[in-house]
Amino acid sequence: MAQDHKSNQPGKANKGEYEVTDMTMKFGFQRAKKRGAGSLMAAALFLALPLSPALAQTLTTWDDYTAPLQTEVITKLNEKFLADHPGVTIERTGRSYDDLILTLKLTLASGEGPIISKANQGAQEMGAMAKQKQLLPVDEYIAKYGWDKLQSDGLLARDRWSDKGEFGVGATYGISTLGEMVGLYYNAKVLKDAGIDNPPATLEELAQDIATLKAKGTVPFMIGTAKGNMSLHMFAAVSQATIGAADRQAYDDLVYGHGGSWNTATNVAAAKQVQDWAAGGDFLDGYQGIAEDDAVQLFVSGKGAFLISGTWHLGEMTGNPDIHFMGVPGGSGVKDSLVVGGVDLAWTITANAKDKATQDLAGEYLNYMVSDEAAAAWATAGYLPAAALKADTVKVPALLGDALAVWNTANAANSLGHYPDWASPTMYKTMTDNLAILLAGGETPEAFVAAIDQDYQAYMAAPK
Amino acid sequence: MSARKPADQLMRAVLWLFGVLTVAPFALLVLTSLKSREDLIAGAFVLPDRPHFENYVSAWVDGLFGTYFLNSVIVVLPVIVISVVLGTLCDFAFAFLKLPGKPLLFGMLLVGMMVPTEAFIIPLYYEFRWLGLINTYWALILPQVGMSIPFVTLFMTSAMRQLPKDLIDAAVADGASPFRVLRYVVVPLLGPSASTMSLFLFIWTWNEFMIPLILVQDDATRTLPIGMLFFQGKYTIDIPILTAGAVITLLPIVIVYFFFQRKFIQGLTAGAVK
Amino acid sequence: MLHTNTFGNLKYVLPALLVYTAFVLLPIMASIVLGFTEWGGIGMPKFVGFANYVALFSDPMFFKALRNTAVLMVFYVALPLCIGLALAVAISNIRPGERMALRMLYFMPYVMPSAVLGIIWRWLYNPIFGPLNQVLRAVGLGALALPWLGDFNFALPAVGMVATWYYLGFCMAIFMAGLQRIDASLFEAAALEGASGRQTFRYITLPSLLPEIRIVLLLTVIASIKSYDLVFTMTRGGPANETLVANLYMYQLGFELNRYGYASAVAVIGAIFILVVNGIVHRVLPTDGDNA
Repeated sequence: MAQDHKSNQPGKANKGEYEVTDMTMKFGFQRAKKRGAGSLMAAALFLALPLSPALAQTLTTWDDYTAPLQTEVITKLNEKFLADHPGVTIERTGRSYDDLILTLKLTLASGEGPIISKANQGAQEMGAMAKQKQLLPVDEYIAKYGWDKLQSDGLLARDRWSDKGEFGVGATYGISTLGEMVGLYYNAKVLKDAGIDNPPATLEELAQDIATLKAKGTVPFMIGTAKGNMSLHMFAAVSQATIGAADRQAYDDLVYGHGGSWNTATNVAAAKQVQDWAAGGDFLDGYQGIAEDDAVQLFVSGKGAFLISGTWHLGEMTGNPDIHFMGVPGGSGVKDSLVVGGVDLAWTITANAKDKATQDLAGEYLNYMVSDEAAAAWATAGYLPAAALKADTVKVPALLGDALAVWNTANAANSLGHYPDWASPTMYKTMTDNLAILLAGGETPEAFVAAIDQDYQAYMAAPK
Repeated sequence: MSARKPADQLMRAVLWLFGVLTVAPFALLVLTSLKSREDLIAGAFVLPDRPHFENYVSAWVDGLFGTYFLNSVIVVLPVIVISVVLGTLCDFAFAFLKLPGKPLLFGMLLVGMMVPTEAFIIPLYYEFRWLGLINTYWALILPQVGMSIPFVTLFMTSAMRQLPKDLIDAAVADGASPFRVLRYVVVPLLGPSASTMSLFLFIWTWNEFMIPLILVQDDATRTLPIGMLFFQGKYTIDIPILTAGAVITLLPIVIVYFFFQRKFIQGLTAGAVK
Repeated sequence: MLHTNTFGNLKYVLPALLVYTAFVLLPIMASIVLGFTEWGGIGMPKFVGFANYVALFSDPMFFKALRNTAVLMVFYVALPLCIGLALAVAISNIRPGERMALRMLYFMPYVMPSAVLGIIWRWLYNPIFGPLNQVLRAVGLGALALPWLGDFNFALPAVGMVATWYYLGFCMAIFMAGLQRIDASLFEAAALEGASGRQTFRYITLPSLLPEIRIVLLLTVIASIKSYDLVFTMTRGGPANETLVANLYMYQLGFELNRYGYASAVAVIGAIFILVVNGIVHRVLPTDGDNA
């Protein structure tokens, strides 16, 4: 959606002109600079320039697979794609999430960059890039390859942006490979050592378990907030766990930009809950100073009983067989409580795919990425595919089996929730900043919820 | 002047202690880079059973440090050369020649020295985008030459003024044109100042962070500090490899420092106070 | 001097000035102009007069950023200067050979890229894996083993301490050179008159070192405004903007939120801030000679 919702955006024609000028100036300047030692430089940087459309058989891809297991899978998949498409080369760059978010927008804005890239959904990223025509719609390929049969409409809608900047309707700009959910990882052995035989079935039981664990001197929640999104996901999970699938409309409206208020009793209660946990010492001592990755590493090495985070950590978590995954338990009496989640970053085709041949090739790559074969490869490595898995054909690690159970249930009951930070371009920062203050006891739950609502209402009120 | 009183000995001990503490982080860095991830969990100061040199190999290859290193070199050398050449010409004029509006020109240059990169990085980004030079080495070289000019001017102008006047006067009396004076009298005498300036420029340019961050997104053109930053993002959980990468980044500087530190610090202190 | 025609002499300065103007001066001026507009990055900027500056003055984040920049100045300027001075005086009683070795140790942090140092210190400050807290726990000071970079009260000082560590060797080296400069006979005379160490310092050393103090102040103030590097790599401004500094705020506004006009206004104010501080230093510590 509009990054700076107060600025005027001229029409498409302007952007087209700009692009042409850009390219001409670039090459013109190169020729002018060829003199003396400058020519060496020119040669060096000509090589450093991304390849022009003339070499359409090279696909430059950017993805966010940096964990060792992830890199293994994507490399294998790319190799298979190359084997099926002789004459094509893939130049892959794997970037950390931070890196990708920062550089993708900058690069696309300057008219360069990859042909295919993973892009984050939401107003600040995909919405902004779609609006500036930096991404190409993929509806053609959805129809051609039948992706709508692989993934539910609810999943595809997350990549839709209309020309008017509305979220969830209009052209589709990407498709995801992996599903994502935020859930409760628990260490069965740690629980058992504390006398808890079964994981909690409701939020109330979770509270009891936490008390038991603390009494035994075990860290109830392993969490790190210095870097990463754990506090955001914890809050989102707890608040959505008290919303049943039947009552999801209001929440959907919020995230899809149709209006509503964040100032609800549910949110206040959830804010209070996480604050109480932090204040009560239920978090790892010193959690403010470690990152999400540190927390996961500690959890895998056996410290802590619970960890609330997403399925993107499934691969690492399989390292410890005592760890299991479940949906965050709903409030008692809530049927089909929402599970925070959706899909991972979507594969997109950028505006750098300038001719039909390149676009079609990109479409084929995307198709391969969402194919059954790719889904099986991810599942075997322990990651959760977005498309329905042909269950018996793949042997999956036990932990993924847990996740799949939750995923299938959620999809069937339409209880797959949202990442609240998609609701506005500034929501991510507003929420994470205020959560840090909330957890440190610096503001009341009411004030927290008010701050979020203020951000949202400002966004709603501004012209798009 | 060194009285060997016990108080002095204590002071000496304290000074050495803090000196060692000052560089302790680097020692720890090297130690950690030779461990495995499991060794780390045992404790920060625990010695590993064997040095894990493969961390360096991983960092170099996965971390693309070879590329970044090369890029840093490709950027630093032209910046130094161009800045010193242009600066010498410029400072010669400031020091010895009459120029229209000299105070104004000088003031213009000083503004640039005080304004941090961040203040003008946004227009700079768009300027390079308009020029079509984003992601090229020029995007890294040209602004840094521009930013070095004020420092070179300040430094070398006064250095030139302190050159022995009689040599210059003699040349002028012989009817030498300004250019000849520059080329045959001034430049040969500039050796020490130029090399000190070059050292400064080397360090500043090698360590520049903001410009490569914004003006270059392509990994193929990134320099070492930026590479290190995003390497960290990729390897947050693999601290041994991360620290190996840090050591690789720092090593050239430490080496240059060891060999040139005396000269460098002397030049710094002399030139700074002028 | 060489009295040739003045305009012809311009050709010497032209190349340097051209590069400088094109890539430094013009962008600076563009920033100033941008500060008066609103711009999302594409299309034309929209002129809004002083609206950005007005908005700035009611922006709590901006004031927080300014306040943090000012606090960091203490760590970038005051602490290294004092510690550096103290070290230089303390070290002057030591044999030259040892002195040089010590100087080399203390100076080393200065040559490192601050971005990499930020990454290193982030690991050092890690409450679980980092050596600092492990040492604290080992010597029984476990209560001090805080989550430094995540602590609302200590994150900013923690970042500041890295800056102090970075600059104290630099200051020390400059003061050492300054001390060399002072006429030894002054000290002898003072000793003969029975002056104590403290008196010698106050009445002889300090005044003589005024030029050095001035230059240290100038350089460290400039450096403190560039605190962006350290903050970006250590905390990205967190937790919850406790370590947000003016330039980081500008970066976020521009490159994350695409509010380039507003970001430029922040940058301009930041630059004015440093010019003012430099001006004050000039005023308070006047100098001789041709430094403009």
